[in-house]
Amino acid sequence: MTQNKLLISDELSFDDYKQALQHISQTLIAEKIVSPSHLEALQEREESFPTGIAFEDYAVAIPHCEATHALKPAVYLIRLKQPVAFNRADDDQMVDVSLIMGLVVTDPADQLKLLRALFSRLQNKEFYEFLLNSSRDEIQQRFNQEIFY
Amino acid sequence: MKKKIIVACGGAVATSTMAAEEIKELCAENNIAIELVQCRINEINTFIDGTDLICTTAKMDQTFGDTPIVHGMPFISGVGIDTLKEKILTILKG
Repeated sequence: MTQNKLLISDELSFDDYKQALQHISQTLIAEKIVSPSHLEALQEREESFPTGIAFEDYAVAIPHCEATHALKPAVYLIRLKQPVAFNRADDDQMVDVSLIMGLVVTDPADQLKLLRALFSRLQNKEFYEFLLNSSRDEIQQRFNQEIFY
Repeated sequence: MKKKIIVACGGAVATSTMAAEEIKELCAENNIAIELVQCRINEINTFIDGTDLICTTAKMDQTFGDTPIVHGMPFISGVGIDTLKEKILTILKG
């Protein structure tokens, strides 16, 4: 399997989700994980099809765009200092998220196992809180064991 | 006869892949033969002929005649997943 990359940023704050998207793209472009066309694609995607997902009693945003802009698969985890509002994927409301999980997918079929592992774990509050509260090393280790295998 | 299902999201990347996989599993468990098309919401029209069910993981304001549409977000969030599965089975068995 293509080596997946996990990036983690802490204690960031954004004025709004648009600023967050900009940060995500700029970071991923600098890391050569996505092509320069990624920013516009990500912005357009979020406008038409927002990615705020309300779980049982917490919410996560998973901004992503089409695989054509991706160079290698990655997950970019951003832990926010203050929550930022994203539009919800399933209705017209907004939802405050403390955790953003940028997804870079090069081949959806290939990476189905990863996507499934990630989303099914996110449904557990324990995993969500682990992502918010653990050290980068602990997160990397758990991803290696449970997600990127 | 196989039931034709369209699973669509904004970019056919992440969330629709998850929903498609869940639906395949659900139908296999219930012995329902399906033909599954995964596409973007703006491509649904191209594949609509003979479709029994549309499942979307993104917001969609359009309708497609009387083809039933269900919202697939519970497959991603886990919230309301049993209700959604029941709904899908009712539509496909009906």
